[in-house]
Amino acid sequence: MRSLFINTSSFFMTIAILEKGMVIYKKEEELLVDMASKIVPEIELSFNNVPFNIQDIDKIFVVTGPGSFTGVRVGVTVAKIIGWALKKDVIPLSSLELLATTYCETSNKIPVIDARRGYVFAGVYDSDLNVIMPDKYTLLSSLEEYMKDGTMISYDKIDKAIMPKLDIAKIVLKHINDKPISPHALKPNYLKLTEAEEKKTRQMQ
Amino acid sequence: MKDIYILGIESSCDETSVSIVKNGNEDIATVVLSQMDTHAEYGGVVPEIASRMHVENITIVIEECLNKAQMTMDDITAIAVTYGPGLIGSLLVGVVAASTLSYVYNKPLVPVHHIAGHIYANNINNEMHYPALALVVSGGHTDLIYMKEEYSFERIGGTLDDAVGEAYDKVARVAHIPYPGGPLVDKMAHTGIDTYQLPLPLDDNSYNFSFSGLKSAVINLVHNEEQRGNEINLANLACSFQNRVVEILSKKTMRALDEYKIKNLVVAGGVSANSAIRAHLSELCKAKGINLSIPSLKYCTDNATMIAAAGYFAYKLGRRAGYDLKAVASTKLN
Repeated sequence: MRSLFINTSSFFMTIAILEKGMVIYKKEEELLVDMASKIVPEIELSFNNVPFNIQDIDKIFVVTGPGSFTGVRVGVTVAKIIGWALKKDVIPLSSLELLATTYCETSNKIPVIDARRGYVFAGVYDSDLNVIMPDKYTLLSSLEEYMKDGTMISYDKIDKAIMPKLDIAKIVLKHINDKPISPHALKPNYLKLTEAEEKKTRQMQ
Repeated sequence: MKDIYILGIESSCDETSVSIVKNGNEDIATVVLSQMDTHAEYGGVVPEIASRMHVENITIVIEECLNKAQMTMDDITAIAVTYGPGLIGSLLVGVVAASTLSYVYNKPLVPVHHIAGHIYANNINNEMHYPALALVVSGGHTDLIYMKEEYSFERIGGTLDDAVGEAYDKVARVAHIPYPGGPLVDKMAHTGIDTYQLPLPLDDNSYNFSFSGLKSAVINLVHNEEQRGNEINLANLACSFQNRVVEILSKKTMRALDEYKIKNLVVAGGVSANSAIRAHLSELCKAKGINLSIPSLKYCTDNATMIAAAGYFAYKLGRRAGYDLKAVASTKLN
């Protein structure tokens, strides 16, 4: 089993290639801009570093969000095209669950992405990545009840949060037997309407 | 010579479109997925919604186009994509999709400027002749471009403020004409008469245009009449506005043809669907013996056929992009 892993949901772009459950190539790069023009060259480079071609992979794991809207679209577009063109299974992953692969001693892991104005994207996972609270767009203060036996994990400046240390092999293994999604149906998981849609929804209420 | 099939991708605004064009002039298959109905609910294009819809539809549109053409990617010579100008989030989807396709199938990637695409919509079922003058009129552009030869572009003038399509849409909005206002203003103008005193915008010796003054004049007129409690005759207002626009566009275009001694005029862009512009320029060109080309209506608005047509000429000139092709919101045509 060979897999391509793509994460462009934050300012870190991660491309990884896995074989038999092990990460055999990984490139993680901090990119504030230009993720869109870096991703395909990075994928090309990654396959120059492993003994097989992109055609030889079995599955594509792609982080579909939540996170940077533009970033997520870049990774999802690449995964859709590769999946469609090469007829490969595509499996969507949560950016929050990916953060939850970070090791910590508490039983609950609370991955958090800052969404401004006191709001965050957050979920709660146990140490086997089972969902305790599904990913959602919520007030940071609403996570209090999980804090007793939980650790917040975030790249963003959030009080008491620890820095993520991602375990790509762990999340891929967890989802290796997930039902794949058709490339046509694969889409970003923004967890949030656009401002225009929110405004319209408010007006209708 | 071997036939060249270009797969074009266009996603610069609110249309996701893919097309296959043979030898730069034959539309083999085109699919355009317009988001217009969605954006109409918001009174204009919402960039974030447009980007979201492009992602959801991109592979569906590519597949549908190949099916329609009864071709596979193996039959495609090269992939052409609009890299700019346009809405950056929208452009990104097309550019990333095209770069990925180019990598996966090992096909050349050809970058196409959106305006080059609009101009080469004139090459579909038709052969363009040079030197030519291109009048590009759309929601984002009003340009006069001198084309000495194939795929060469020299901008000799353009709008200093609003694009002509933008002026139409703003006038429509202030006159409470629903989105998309431009085509409706055009339609209403036919039932009206030119009764309102509006200025002829930037009537000088340059090849530049300025529509903000004319637009402001319309806005002031509407507000003043509303304050006085007078009803505005929308058809007459549309007619008066449209007459000024058509007059200045025609005047400067005909002068440029004269000065540059050009016998070929190509009109391009979404606003080239405007019936008054088409009719007036046809008449003037006929009288002066100018060979006029305006794309058929379906190629006037954004579509990938024009990108694939332009892509053919760019491909022949050896223009290529790497997989690191960048989408750019604003870029000069060259």
